[in-house]
Parts: sequence; structure tokens; C-alpha cells
Amino acid sequence: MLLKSIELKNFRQFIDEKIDFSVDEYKNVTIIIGENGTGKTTSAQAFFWCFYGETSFADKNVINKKVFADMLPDVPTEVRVTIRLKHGDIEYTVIRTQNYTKTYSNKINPENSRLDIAKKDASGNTTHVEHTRVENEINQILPKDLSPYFFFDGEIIEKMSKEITNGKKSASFAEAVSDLTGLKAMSSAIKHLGQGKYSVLGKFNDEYISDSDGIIKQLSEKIDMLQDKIDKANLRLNEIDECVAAAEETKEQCGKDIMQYSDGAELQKDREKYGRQIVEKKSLKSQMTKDVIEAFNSQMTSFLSITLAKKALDMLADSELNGKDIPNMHADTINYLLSKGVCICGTQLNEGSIAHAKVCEYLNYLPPYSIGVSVSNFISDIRGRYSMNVTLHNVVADKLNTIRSLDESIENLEEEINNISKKLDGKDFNKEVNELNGRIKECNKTINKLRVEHDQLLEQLGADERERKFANDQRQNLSLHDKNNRQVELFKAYTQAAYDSLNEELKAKESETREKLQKTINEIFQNIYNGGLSLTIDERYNISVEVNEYDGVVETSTAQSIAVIFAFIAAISKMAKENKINGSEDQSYSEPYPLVMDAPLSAFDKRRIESICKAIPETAEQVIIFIKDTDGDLAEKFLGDRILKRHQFQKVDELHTNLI
Amino acid sequence: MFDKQYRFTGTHAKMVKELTSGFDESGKLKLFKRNLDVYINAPIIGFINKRKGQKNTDNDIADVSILGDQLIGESSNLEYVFRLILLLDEEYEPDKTKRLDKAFRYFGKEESENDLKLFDEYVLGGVEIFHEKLIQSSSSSSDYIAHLYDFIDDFNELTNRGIESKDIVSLCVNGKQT
Repeated sequence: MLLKSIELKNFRQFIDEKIDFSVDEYKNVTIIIGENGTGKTTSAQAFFWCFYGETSFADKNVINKKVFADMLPDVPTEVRVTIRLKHGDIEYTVIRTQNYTKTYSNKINPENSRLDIAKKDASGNTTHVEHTRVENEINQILPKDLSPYFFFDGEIIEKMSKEITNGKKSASFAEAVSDLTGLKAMSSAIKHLGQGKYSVLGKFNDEYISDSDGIIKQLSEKIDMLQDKIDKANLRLNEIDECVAAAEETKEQCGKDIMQYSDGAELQKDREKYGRQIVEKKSLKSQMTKDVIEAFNSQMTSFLSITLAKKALDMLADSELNGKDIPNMHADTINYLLSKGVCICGTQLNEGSIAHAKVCEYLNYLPPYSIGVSVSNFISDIRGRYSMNVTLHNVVADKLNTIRSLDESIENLEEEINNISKKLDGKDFNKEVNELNGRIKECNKTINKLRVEHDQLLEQLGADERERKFANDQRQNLSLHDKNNRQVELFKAYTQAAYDSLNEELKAKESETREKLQKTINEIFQNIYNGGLSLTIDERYNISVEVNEYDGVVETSTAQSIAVIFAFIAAISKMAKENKINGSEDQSYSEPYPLVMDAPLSAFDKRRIESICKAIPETAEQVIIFIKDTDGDLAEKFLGDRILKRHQFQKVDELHTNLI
Repeated sequence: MFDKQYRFTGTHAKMVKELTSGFDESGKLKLFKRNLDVYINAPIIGFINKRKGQKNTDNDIADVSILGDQLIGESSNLEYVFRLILLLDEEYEPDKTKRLDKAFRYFGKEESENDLKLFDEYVLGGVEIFHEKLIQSSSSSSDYIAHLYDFIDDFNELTNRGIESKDIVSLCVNGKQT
């Protein structure tokens, strides 16, 4: 099958768009670029909707919301997706339509969707497929079971990724092997021949003609009853295996979660510790700041005026004011004596006398006539001020250094706390751990109970099988006495032989396909990883991935699983393509299919994207890649000349996307 | 002299208020503990930077006052600063003898009225410089301390130039060293 185009009308955010795909043999790549939310997933889902009438969206109403808003009540509007494709020599036009009406209370009212298929054969004749047959026709083109492998679906990626990461038996791989290579038909045949009451062998068991004693009848009933019991026991054993596996998985997950939470408890302790450290450091910082302010307030006058003090002292030293002044006296004292006319010693101070003149002379050495005393006092004051060292600059520098380093520590601690808080996200760890422990206990209880049941069942099964064999042998012996019964035995023997032979072939083919799938996947890995990754699938479909170092870099587990899934899908596509080229006559092999993928390139580094981009067009016959705009340039660069068609989605608004 | 209430008005009142407001989280730490501390030290900075401020008024800004009693309590510091300015301001009084007279002979006398006006202008100039250097562009407690350090560091390097207390004491004891 090759996809030629898809047309979307009123389908979710697409009002009227058509996307053409490359059908060229070499330039087989179509890329569709769009930022998140433009409708990449929608267009991938449009294929599912058109073919099978289903989408994985929670909202099953696919009509464009804007169109719906503009609709008038009771006037139907059509949603239509048209896919043109080529399958074998026939050109198909597959159209799914669905009418929507709006009620007067603004409710949405969808009708059932309708599928129409037109076929144009090699000679140009067009026929329309009858309505009762359209779904069959689609299933012949692309069986629904297979579609997820080609329309790269998010759910299957998640499921497979989980299987791979857990190293569990992969149901997806097992299903893929049987679905894709047509072995399903063979296993149906096997079931038809020999499994259960209503199989061919079962029918023959009813053909025995009873003997006169009714023993054969009794034996047949017993054998049927035992077979029933055995079938049921086998079913139950499978169920138990699955339940035990699920319980083990839950247990393991709980264990991992507990580890995370115990890390969490440690982190919580750290966060509290850092919180306390911040409080201490802030308090220390506050003390340091206080010390700075104290020093500034107590020393600022001395500090600020020291240069003025020096200049003043230099100036005063030049002025020769010292030496003659009388200490601790003032001119007023002399004036007082002069006004009294008597000196302290009793000498009369009459104006014009020598004594009067002498005392008057002292006035020159006393303030305010003399400033020597004031200057001397001033100098003493300065001396007092600087008798202690002015340490302001050093103190502030020291404290500031401490404050800065405290600030830095506080900032680092706050960042640590922020980081921890992001991780912890406000959970109560003890409660969570207790709950998880409880679940582990429950799981252990369930596992033990199931194991006991398992062992008992196995024991009973063995006994039942022995008894059935005994009854069977008995019936066989008795049958020899009757002609009809001998014939039944003969038919049964033929049927059994056919059953065994088919079973053997199925096993061989399955094993061959599985090995081929494994080999192809590893070849693809070889391309992408230079052998850095290898995968093995054992007969029970246990998947194991071995990671070797790739240029010294080990991939994250997400990228690994995506690489495995990508390789898986690419491998299936490649196998299908090779089968077509080889012109296999084997009817069980099907048509090659396109690979439509919402490319998860962002999980990989640039070099890996290059290898993947180079591998894709080689592996599939037609490649349609939906890609994020950020990866668009890279993909375009590496897919290079294999791209024939390019499209880009542009978001007009949340409800409307255009193709440009 | 320095015994009557002093008022900062207008923009200067606002600046003094900011210089004496709490800047840390607790609101308790203040760059200048009292308005008086601004009044004592601002004239030194005003004079050293030759910056005189002009008194202005603004009805929307409350005056910031220093009581006379407080001034009297700090008169020795105020007189010390005032004397230094009178001794050293050659622009105001180029004659050295007259500067000596202003600083000592007529200090605190009626003749010194203009000198007090000069002192007040330097007070306002100094307030403006303190505000520019310490308050503007500070927002967090760390900023205030960092700017205070920058101010002290620049002053130490550009103005004090390595003068230490012992140099001053030596000058007081021995006079000028030649």
C-alpha cells in the first residue's frame, strides 16, 4: 500500500486541507513540519479514523470546534476524510464521512460515520464497494491489528518501551511476528484442527459409536471432562503466570519508589539542615552589618576629618603661637584687677604707675588678645581624638568580606533548597513509604497464594493428563472391536498428523521470522549505533537490549527504548518490503506498507538523528514523517535528496491549523 | 553657638530622614544613628568636596529637627569641625591670620554669624553627598553596606592617603616635621 494523499474537511483543527505524499521509489520521503499543537497527532489519527472510524482522542467528536460554533441548529455539517492510496494494482479512494448537527440547546449530535470505497483497476474501470463489504475491504488493505505498526502510534510506543525497559516478555513483538508475516492464518488452522471440543478432532470424538455396555460413551465423556479440566487448568496456569508477573512488577516498582522516597527523606533532612544554616548565616550577617554600622558611627568623625586635622596642625605649627601665654587665665581676670586698682599681691595699680603698665602688658598674653591657649587646647583635643587608632577602613573591609562570603553561602544554600524542593514537591514521605510497604506486602501475599495454587494445579494437571491418556488408550482398545470406531480412529490419526505437521511448520516459521526480525533490527542498529546497541529475542519473546558504549556516550534509557521501537518498526517495514521485492510466492506474506511516524527525533543527539534519517528511507518503501519545527532543519538536512514533498502546518489559533 | 534647635527642611529633610532610616530586614540598622550624627559629619564632607547646599522648603516634606539640648551635648565635636573649616577654608578667607582669628579669637562671638552660615551650607552640601553616595541606588541591606564600604574605601584612598592616627599624635606632640 502506498499513500497518495489525505484530505481533511472539518476534521478537528483542519477545516479544508489536502496533504500529498511522495510515491516516488527513490525520493520516498514526505516531511510535515509543525510546532507542538499544530495537529501532527491529529493528522496521524485521521488515517485511523478514515480506515476504522476510531481515534485515540478522549473527545470522540472530531468536528472542528469553530465550525461547530458557527453551525445553525438542525442543519447538518459534514466531517470528511479522504485517503487516496494504491494497493497492488488498484487505486483506492477511501472516504469516511460523519454528519454532525447542533440542537437548539447547543448540544452536539453526531450521526454514525459512513465509509465509502471506490476502486479503480489497472484498466481504468472504477467500481464502488458495497456497503456491507467496505470494512472487509479495508481489513484486506491494512488489517486493523497491523495499523499501529505503520501509523506510529503513541500508545504502542509507550507499551513497547515499558516492555523493553522492564526486560519483560514482549507481547508486542510476539503479536507483530504472528500478525505481520501471516502466520495467524496458520495458527487459526491449527486451532481449527485440534484445539478444543469444537475442533475437527473434537468432532471426531463425538463420532464413536457406543458399545453395548456404554463403556466407550462413558470413556468419551470422561475424556471430554478431563480435557475440559486440563484446558481450564492450563488457562488458569497462564493467568497465574500473568498475575504473578504483574505482582512482581508492582512490587519492583514499589521498591524503586521507596528507594526514591528514602532518598527523598534524606533530601528533606538536607533541606531542613540547609534552612537552619541559612538562619545562622543570616544572623551572623546581621551581626556583621551591625558591627560595620557601630564602627562607622563611632569613628566617622575622626576618619573623615583626619586629613583636615593634619592640615590644621601643619598650619598651626607654622604660625608660632606658642610659648609666651599664661596658662589657665583670661584677660577678664587682669581687667578685674585693673578696675579694682589693687594687684593680688597688694600693690596699688594706679594708672601711669610702673605696676599698672606691667599688669596691662599681661593682657597681650591672654585670650582673647592671645589665641595661644585656645590653639593649645585645640591641639590637645585633636591629640585626644587620635590617641586611639582610626580603624574604620580595616574594620569595614574585614566585615564586608565576611558579609560577602555569607551572602554567597546563603545564595548557594537557597539554591540547594530550591533544587531539593523541586524534587520533593511537597510530599509526605513517611506516609508514602508506609503505603508502598503495604502494597509490597499485599503483592507478596498474592504471589505466595498464587504459587501455592500453581503448584496444586500442576499436580492435578499431571494426574488429569495421565487419567485422560489412560481413558484414551482404553477407548482406542475398545474401538478396535467396531468397524465404525476403527474408522474414527483412522480419521483422528490423519487429523492429528496434519495438526502436528502444521504445528511444526508454524514453529519453524515463527522461529525463522523471529530470528529474521532480530537480525534486521540489529542490522538497523548497526547503521545507527555502529554496533553500540544489540537486541536479542528468545523463543519466549523475552527482549534483552545490550548497550555498549557509543563514542564514550551511553544513551538515556528513553532514547534507547525509542531506538529499539524505531528499529522494530523499521525492521518490520523492511522485511515486508524485501518480501515484495523477492516476489515471494508465499501467500502468507503481505503487501509492503508505508511508515508514518511522529518522529521522536528530539530524544536523540544530532549525530544519531543523522544516522536515523539516513536509515529510514532505506528501510521503508514510503516514509511520512511528522516532525517538530525545531528538528525540521536537521531532518531536512540529513534526509536530503530523499525528500520529495514538504509540508508545514501553521497554527492560526488553537482551533484552526493551515497547511502552508 | 550650637545651642539652639536646628531644622533640616525640604529636600535635605527628606535626605536626612533616609540617611537615618532602618535599612535591614529588621528595620533596626541605620547608617546614621541620629540626625545629629549627620549634622556633625556632613560639613566635613561638604567642605572637603567644596560642596555648599542651599536651604529649600517643601510643604509636603516634614522638617527634621535637632534639639538645642542635643547640640549642646555634642558641642565639642561641632566646635572641632567648625574650627577645622574656619582654619582651612582659604576660599572663604584667604588671609591666614584672619582665619586664625575666626577659629580662635572671635570663635563663638557675634562676629562669627557669617561663619555659622558657611558651616550650615557645608552641612547641606555634605548631606547631599552622603545621600548620593550611600542611599541612591541602594536597595537591599547588602547594597547599603557595599556602598558604605565603597564610600569609605574611596575616601581612604583619595582623601586620607595613608594618614594614620600616629601621624596626627606625632604632629600634636612635636609640631610639623620637616
